[in-house]
Amino acid sequence: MTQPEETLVEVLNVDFLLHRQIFPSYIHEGRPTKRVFKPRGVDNGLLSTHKTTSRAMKESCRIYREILNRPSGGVAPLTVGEVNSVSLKVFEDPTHSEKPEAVEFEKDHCVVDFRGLEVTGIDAKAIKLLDLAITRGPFIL
Amino acid sequence: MYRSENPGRRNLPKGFRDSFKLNLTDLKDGSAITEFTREEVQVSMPATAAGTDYFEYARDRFNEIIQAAQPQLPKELIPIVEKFGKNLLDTEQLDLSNDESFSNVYTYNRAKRLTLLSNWQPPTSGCALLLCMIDWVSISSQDTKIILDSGKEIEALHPSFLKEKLREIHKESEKYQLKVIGKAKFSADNELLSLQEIQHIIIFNEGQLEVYPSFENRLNEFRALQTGWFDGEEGEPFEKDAIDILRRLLNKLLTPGNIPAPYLYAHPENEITLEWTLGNVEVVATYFCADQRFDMFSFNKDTDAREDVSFNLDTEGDNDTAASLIEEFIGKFITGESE
Repeated sequence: MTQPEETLVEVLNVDFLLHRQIFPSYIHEGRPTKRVFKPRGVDNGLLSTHKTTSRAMKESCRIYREILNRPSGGVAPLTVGEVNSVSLKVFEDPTHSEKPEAVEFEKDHCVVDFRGLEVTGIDAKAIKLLDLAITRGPFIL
Repeated sequence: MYRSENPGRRNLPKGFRDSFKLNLTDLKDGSAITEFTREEVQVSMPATAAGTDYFEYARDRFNEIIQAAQPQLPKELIPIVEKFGKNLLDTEQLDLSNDESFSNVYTYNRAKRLTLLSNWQPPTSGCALLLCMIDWVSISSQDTKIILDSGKEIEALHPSFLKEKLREIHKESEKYQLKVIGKAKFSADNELLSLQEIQHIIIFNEGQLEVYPSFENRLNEFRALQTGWFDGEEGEPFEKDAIDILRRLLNKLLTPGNIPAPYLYAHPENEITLEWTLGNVEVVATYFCADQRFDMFSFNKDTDAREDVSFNLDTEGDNDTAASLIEEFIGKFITGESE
């Protein structure tokens, strides 16, 4: 999974779209929680996303649910530039999948780096990122 | 202009938008000068009371205004001028004319725009709680029109997930007394201009309080969660007592009908978050089920201002104090109360 810090390669193309999967319990009446972009304790400050130039959110969600058998209630989209706009960086974090349909998807795995921030700073940035994603228009199942 | 001449008409006549087209007809040397001309279209624009069509009428009024030595901009044109030519550079200008030969030219540039807007103060935004009814909800867009108790009509936008609820309320609206909470735009003299986003709804249906989002069903869902509910592995069931304490607190808090219901989310860390969006302010309360503690914070997305408060719930009592604390914390962000 995530490589040592010194080997992380930053994603510099600000136009890349990032798809963040939304846990089903993170949606109430179609509205995502403010924690969608907040890394959990187990994430060690690195928030999981997948970058893409052309994959539709619906397709991202399908691969995540049906091929990788992971839970998703939808996808929140952001560009790398939007992540940079709140002073956060995105790093490549390609992972390997044995499932042919998920190989490309997992190669596109990236992380948003929240490490070193105070909890209050993380909350604020997570809220701003969700706001940007909602403006862009999330896909909710 | 059409609406001000036809106050009884809710919508523009069919084909109104199609009756006007502007075409790029020429690109002068060096591509620095572009020319636009109104296209002749098959759909005819309705005529004003004066007999001209609405475009000609609007064009001539605007040309008169920008030509005047001391231009006075009608209030309803302010939002249009605020957008029109916003990106013009000092070296750029628009030459407007009412004839193809450009024999009469009215110049619009950055300086003219600023003169027109010189007495204008930008609107402010905040959170409004409005006693109102829903007049209509658009099927194809996020537009809603609401009528305040005072009779004033205002435009409102809703997130797509609220559309069905608003349509349902609209159908049954005669039975309801309704409060809508949302991000409001106010003029400089504090007049409510519009709702930029409907965020929460409180309904009194024949004396019974109904809130949106609903919390009873959501808490029942939380109560029924089984091991692995989060992702198949993580997520232990919540203590039923913890859920019931939260239910009693929410009943206490929401029953007077002054505070909107929060959106509720379960987290595998044995936490439940209660979330309100109040204008530009996000309020998140984290309920730590293990020790019945509440951490609340607010975050203003415009100013980055943040406030925090923490308290413990009374596991036995009715939590009057906790309800008051939450009401006070949230109530101060609802600035545009209108009853």
